Amino acid sequence: NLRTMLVGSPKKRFLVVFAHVFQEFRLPELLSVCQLHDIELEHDGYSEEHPYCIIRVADEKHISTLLNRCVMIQFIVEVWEEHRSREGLCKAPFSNYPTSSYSFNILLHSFGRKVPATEKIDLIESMEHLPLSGKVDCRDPDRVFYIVERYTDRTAGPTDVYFGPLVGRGTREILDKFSVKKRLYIGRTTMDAQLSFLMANLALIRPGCLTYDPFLGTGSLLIPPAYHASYCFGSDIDIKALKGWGKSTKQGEERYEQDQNVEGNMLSYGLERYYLGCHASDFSSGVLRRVPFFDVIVTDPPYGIREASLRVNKDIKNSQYSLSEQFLELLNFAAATLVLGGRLVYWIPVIRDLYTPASLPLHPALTLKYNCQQVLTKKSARRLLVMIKTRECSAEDASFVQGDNTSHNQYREVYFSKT
Amino acid sequence: KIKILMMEAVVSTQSTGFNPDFISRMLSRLDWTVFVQSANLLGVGEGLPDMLPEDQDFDDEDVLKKIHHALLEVEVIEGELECPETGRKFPISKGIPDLRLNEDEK
Repeated sequence: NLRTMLVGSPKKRFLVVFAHVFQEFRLPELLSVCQLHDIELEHDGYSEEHPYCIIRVADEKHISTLLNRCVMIQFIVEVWEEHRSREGLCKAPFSNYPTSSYSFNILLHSFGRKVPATEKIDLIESMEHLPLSGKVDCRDPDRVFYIVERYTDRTAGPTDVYFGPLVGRGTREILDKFSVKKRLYIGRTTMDAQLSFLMANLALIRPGCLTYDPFLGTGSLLIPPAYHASYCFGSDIDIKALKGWGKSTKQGEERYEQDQNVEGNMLSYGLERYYLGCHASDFSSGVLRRVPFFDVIVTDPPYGIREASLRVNKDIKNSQYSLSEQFLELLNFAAATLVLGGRLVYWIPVIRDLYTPASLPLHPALTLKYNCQQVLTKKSARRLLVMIKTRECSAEDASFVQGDNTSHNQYREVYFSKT
Repeated sequence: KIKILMMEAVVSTQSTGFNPDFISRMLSRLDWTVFVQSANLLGVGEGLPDMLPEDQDFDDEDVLKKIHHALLEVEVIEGELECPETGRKFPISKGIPDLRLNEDEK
């Protein structure tokens, strides 16, 4: 089995410690980043129930690549020891590891039970053959080591215990720099930084690719592409959102200032060279030529809740343009305007009770690669769908829903209903 | 659908890093005739070939730079786009074209 194979292999094994949020997105992101950088990766023990996953890569340099690009990874530890109990770790001989005289610190990460600090100290002192002869330095050690313990039963001992040096931590700087709390221009539809960077990773955005967002809003989904040196542009029916007109949604601000708009954000981050501009249009009017053009389409279409699905005549109630038509149109557009191999990454709202995989829109020229749910409320969720254009479109091709589309088509009605 | 001819009022030029790979890859995706037409209207069409070279590995750097300049560095800030078929005008303000149609135009 894979575990035996990994244990017996001469290659190093690493323990990935994920952030324990957006659980359905973590492995898809890891695999997408591997594909982006041609990294061969084997993984074992991944589960949505806990944040740990063993991986093996051909080249240790790939670990830095993963840490730089993935937003769901907290840190990665090189696995020196792996045991099914604490006793196993305490008695581990560490015979393969030369004694190190570097100053060090040992941290403990646990899941399923909080381990008190005193217990951690006792544990470290019980490790009989720890090959560390240097000084303990909590503030600025030469090397940091981790004990990682996974508990399935809080009253019993851990079922998985790992030990090894910390290889690196995920870059929080990016999420901090691009945090929407600090951003110049935001609105009610602005996507939070972690999710927008996640979308860029699932879309395989790489330098020099061309990205489009047809429901641009405040432009939040184009910031990660620009950061990754992708040329990007967008459009939206709401010209005020593009220009930054009207009442500000930021605390303490009355109306938006002159520089608060989509372009202003790009300028504030120094990414304007990748931002190709935007235009106002009704997505369904078909302003753009239906020819293969974009490498990536990333978008968050309206759900009919906050910024209502607008048509130019603002006749929402009587509009026959349902939410379902919007998504079918999006798939038709993507199938026609993506280059072969290009990706469409978009959110679709779902009423959880009504959702089945058959309620998702499909298209003969697009293949559904990932389908990751983010729960929003007891009743509602949204799903991030990643689709790849796997063949060219013919005139007869059209998007369709196999089953019942009410899980997204009735989203607005069910969302506001009293039941 | 709608073909666009451009009439410029205010044009801005921003220097942007030249990325020859990106420009080469975009060549086959452009409607070359319309692109050259637009570039000429903006006064940056000089040196652009009338027809796109058949050669997939087109790498004449001078021409690529001119294409890069017209494609990425020149922007209409204020002006109008006019549909050659209907004469319908679409305003451009602060660099953002308004291409929304009225209900009866759809």
